[in-house]
Amino acid sequence: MSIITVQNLHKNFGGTHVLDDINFQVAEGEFLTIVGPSGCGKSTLLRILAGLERQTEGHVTINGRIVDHEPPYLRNVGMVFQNYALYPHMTVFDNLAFGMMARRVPRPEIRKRVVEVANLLGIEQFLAEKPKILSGGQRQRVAMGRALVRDPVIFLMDEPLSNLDALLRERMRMELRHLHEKLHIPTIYVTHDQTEAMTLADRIAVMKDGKVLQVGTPEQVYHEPQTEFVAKFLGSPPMNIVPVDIAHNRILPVNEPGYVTTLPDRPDLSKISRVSSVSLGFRPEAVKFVAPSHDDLKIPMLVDAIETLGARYHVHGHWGRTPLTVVMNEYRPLKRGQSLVCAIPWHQLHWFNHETESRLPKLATEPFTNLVGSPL
Amino acid sequence: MNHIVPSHVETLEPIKPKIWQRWREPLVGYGLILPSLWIFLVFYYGPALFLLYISFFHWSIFQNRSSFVGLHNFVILFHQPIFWQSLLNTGYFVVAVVPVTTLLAIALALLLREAAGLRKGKVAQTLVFLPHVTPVVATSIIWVWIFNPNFGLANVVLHLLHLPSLLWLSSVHWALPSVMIYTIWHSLGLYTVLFLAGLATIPKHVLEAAQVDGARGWLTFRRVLWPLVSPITFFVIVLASITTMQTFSQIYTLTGGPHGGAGGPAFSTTTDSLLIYQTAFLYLHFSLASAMSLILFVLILGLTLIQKLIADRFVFYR
Repeated sequence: MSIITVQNLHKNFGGTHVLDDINFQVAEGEFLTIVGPSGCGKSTLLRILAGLERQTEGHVTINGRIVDHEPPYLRNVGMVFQNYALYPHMTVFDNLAFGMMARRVPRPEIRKRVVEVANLLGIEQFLAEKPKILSGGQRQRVAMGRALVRDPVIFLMDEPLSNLDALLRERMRMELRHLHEKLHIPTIYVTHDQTEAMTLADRIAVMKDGKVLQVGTPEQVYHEPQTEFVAKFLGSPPMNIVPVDIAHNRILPVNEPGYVTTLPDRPDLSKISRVSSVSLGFRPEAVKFVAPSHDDLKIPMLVDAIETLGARYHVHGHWGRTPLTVVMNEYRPLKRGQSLVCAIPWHQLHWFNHETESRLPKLATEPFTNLVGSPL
Repeated sequence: MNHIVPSHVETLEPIKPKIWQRWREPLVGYGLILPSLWIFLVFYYGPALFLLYISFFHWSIFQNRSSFVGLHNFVILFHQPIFWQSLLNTGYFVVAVVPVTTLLAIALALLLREAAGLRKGKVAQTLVFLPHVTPVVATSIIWVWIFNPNFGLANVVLHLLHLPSLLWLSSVHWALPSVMIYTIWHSLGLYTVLFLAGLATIPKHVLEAAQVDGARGWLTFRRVLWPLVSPITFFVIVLASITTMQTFSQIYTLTGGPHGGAGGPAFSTTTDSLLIYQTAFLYLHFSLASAMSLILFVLILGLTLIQKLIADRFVFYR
């Protein structure tokens, strides 16, 4: 059964559409991350779920009850804000206890729950302190504890780790995941950080310009991105996307006949005669430099620069005028201007409609009839 | 081998600054504050110290008749029933005006906060603040008419509320409360704006966290808003206490004029500062008035210190 259902949700601020027809569900015990660039409406969506903002259209159902007109105090959601929003004048104990006090939970019960949660999060030694003296990570835990202590139906987190330094962020990420596995409280986690989104999530929703572009497991959105944006947004370095023309068994970057390369010799490709307005995508780490097979697409790349990351190397270059980045796991001496043949296995290629930027079925199985025609 | 560092390195002698160089910076600094410091000393501390001095003298404007009398001025004061009456009136005035003003100001600020940033909010804020920028003497005269027992607006309002009409400024019991009403009307805007500024500094997310936590109206106010504006509350209470203890103009204007000498009827509106004025400039007992001023100063200082002590336990500074 789903804990939260969002149906046809719209939000306008004045004349601007901030959210445009949002639909998704969160199942019991599920961890959903909402990821997107800043300004894509993800925080607004979360605030609507919490009841801090009212949607223009559409419905939000929590635990089978439509809560469209319910103020926050009736919804029993736990929220963690980006800047923690702790009550600065209260002790950690009171910060945790406040929500239960508001709900008139008896005092001994409050005490018990607060101590329980403080122990769980390792903040029991700070219960008598005010938030001012706590470090970022400790404040983060208090903010989590405050949301947790009331036993909420669902956890809403608005970029909770973005104010922490990189090392601590990584640790808190792990702890968050462990906590979730222990407690199984359904969670919606908003972030702009694709690593956080991928590592934490059971499912990811990718948002852009107020729309949800794709919802799926981290594997699904990574391996079968439905749009060019999703393909580029998840994964680092981002996927290479090149608008190409295809004729017979040859492929080239659009309008750059000097950089033509041959398509692999596959029997299912024989039915293609001419395709244009299509973009080719491949992930930087999908590229092989040794032992290419007959099934690989081989792209001649001119090397511009190499970045050393220690365990691996990022090679920046270009194919025609299109910049490419590929990942190399072993060092090989490369010079600027040198040609490097990048072999990409056929099943690692992604195809997108260049106009709509949406994913196309595998080039081999579908003849792309709608795209055939424009002469090279 | 490259010689980056020269083979012989000399230790540099520390340069001794010349006398004028050492003094130049402080001299410039003091030179710059001197004009305002001079005004401050001559017109502020000078008279204050002189007041302290003459309160121990039998002092006359004609210097040759002045003589040192020690604490005699204070002894005289303590034997004057009117002095005690004035202190009582001042106390009554402060105790009634300060809490009412503070509570009304925060209530108004909470109301105006809802519309803050909107056009109607700005209009309302201006309207609330407006009385404070009007001259006390001018508006007091208008309020004399409002409090007129025969045709004043105050009695019209009472009549509409089916309440008996009052004599207001002509009544021994209602004269001081009338002045209180005027004072609250005149000063409320300032304190409301102070509270509004205080409320605006509360982070939005903290209030939203309280909402999500399940808190509503009164609880949010008592446990979140009120503690977070406590520094402003403290400031408002101190400021209001000091200004009400020194209230003079409106009492002088409201109770003078058609009602005879100010401070009446029957000394019911004679506060400390009014008595100081009358003693000094009507009866020309400058040393007595100085002694009274000194007492008023000590009282204000004492009250402020007490408030500070109490506040240290309740005020939360971020």
